[in-house]
Amino acid sequence: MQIICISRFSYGYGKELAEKLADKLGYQSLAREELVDKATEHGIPVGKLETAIVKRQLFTEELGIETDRFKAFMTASLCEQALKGGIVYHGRGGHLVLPGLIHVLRIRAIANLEDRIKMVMQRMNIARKQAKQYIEQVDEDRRKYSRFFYNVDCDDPSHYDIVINAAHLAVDNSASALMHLAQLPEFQLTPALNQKIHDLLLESKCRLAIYQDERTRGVKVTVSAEKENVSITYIPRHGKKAEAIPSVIERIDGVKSLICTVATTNILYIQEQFNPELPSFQHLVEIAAKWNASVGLIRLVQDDIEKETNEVISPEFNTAKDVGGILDDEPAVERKEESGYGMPETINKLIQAGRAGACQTIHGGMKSLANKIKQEQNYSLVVVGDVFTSYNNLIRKRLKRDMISTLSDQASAPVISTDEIEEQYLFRPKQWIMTVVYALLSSLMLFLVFTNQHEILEFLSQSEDWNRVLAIIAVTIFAPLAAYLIGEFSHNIMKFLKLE
Amino acid sequence: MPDKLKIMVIDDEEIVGKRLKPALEKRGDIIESFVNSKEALARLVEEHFDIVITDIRMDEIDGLEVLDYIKSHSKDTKVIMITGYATVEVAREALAKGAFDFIAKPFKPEDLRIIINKAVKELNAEQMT
Repeated sequence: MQIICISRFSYGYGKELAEKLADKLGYQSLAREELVDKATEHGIPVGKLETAIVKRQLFTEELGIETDRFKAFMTASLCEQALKGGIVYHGRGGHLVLPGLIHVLRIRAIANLEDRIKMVMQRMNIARKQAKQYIEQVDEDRRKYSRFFYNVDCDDPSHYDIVINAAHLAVDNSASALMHLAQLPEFQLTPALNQKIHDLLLESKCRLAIYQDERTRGVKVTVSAEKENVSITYIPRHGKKAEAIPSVIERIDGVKSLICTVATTNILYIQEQFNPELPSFQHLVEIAAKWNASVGLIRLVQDDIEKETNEVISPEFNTAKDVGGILDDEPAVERKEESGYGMPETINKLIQAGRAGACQTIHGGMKSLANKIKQEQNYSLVVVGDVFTSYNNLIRKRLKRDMISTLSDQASAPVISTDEIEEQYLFRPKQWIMTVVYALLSSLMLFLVFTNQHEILEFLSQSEDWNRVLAIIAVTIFAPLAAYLIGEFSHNIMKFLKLE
Repeated sequence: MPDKLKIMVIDDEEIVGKRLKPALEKRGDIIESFVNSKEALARLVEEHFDIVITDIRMDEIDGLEVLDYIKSHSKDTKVIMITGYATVEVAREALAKGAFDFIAKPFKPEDLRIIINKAVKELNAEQMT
């Protein structure tokens, strides 16, 4: 069935447009507010999530999981409605909870700021200054929400099929124009897309069931479904609770088979001070997503005391039922030393990305760290960031190089510096260019060899001494060069195919 | 500012008042809780409260109407809105109408106390000027 999503401003005309369009097409109009109410009834603290985002509060792992639960709820609700008949959804990010459904008509309805201010002044009975401030704040909240939930800029027109401005069109005329647009073949449901809606629905039902069931609550999962075959991956530290996943999933209708696996790939990130805004950290998260890996953090303290502090953050789900949403106060906890080293912010980012692994602080410098790496051999990659920061640049570089070399001896996985992540594991435009260059040079070289076989053999088989020396020099240069070009080309291709 | 604050809690769920009252009284403040917003407004006519904590979504008279009443009758009363079902957009509307701050359910009394402390600071600053 057809799905139309209208992204609207508060006090724009998106709601009226959605209702008019739904009316013309004979579809159901569905407001985000209705779904938020239903989600809250299901126990998802939507208000709490939104408040945490707009007030920039610290995001706990619990809230990270509630975010995914809310997304799953939205996806399931929209898919369920879409399977019953055509829908016109209006609110934020409707199309963003329906990934892969390319037939969704994505509309952005904008309105004149002055008109919106007037509407707010009239409706709320407030002065112009307050009205303008209100609109600016709500718009900013929406931007923060889109960035946080979906990592997109909601004002970017490239996320929509059409942007419609109320200042120049009456609501009825806008709805008529959109009705014609909706008839285009690009926005029609195909059997493959219908199957995709069923798959998305099943995926979200599984996520909801896992997050809701007491036995599996707190387990962060990645779920994918294809033609009723469900595949679930969880991170190693949730292994114990994840044992109950099959019994939770078997109660869901429509699951033909289930594959439940632990994400065996772990990336270890070592730093003295973390900063989630660093490009190297973003690259690390990108690799983790590519490999379906969790990222563990180790904060290295260069002192003589050998000790380990476990900083694994486990979600504690407070049951707000029957207490009217008023939870018990916790005894005051002394603020941990680690709070000042960017660890909570980095964990937050990893939680948001669904990649949070264990977090530890290791005292005692290199020796303790090497022991730790030796004990735990389940890493696929060890990344060393900024360490030995109290030394000057030259000494720091040398000590870091020594550290990478020592850790490489202990770990069964590659140990690299943060500077090498992008070059070694990510496929960027630069790599594309280099791949093409290597391909051209390799092809040219092979072409020349095969078209001049006779001459080459003649040159190599000459009997004069000086000619033999020349042949040896030529082979010594040519063979490694050929191996290098073909090797680099193959390496880039493997990286592109994610087979590194 | 008097040593003891007069705080009113309005929420149509009885349990909210029951749980917040003892938690907030620990500081020595005087807490009155109401489940009926009409009765709460009647009480506000009789007596001045330093802080009113009200749920946004309630039957009969909702939190925004309570806020309108307070702002037109007792401008120096600080109003803290509780959002349960309501989204941040409604909370922002409350702020535009003069509410001091908002807090989303579920929350711990300690979180509310932090907002109350900020409100007290502002009340003190207003009295100084």
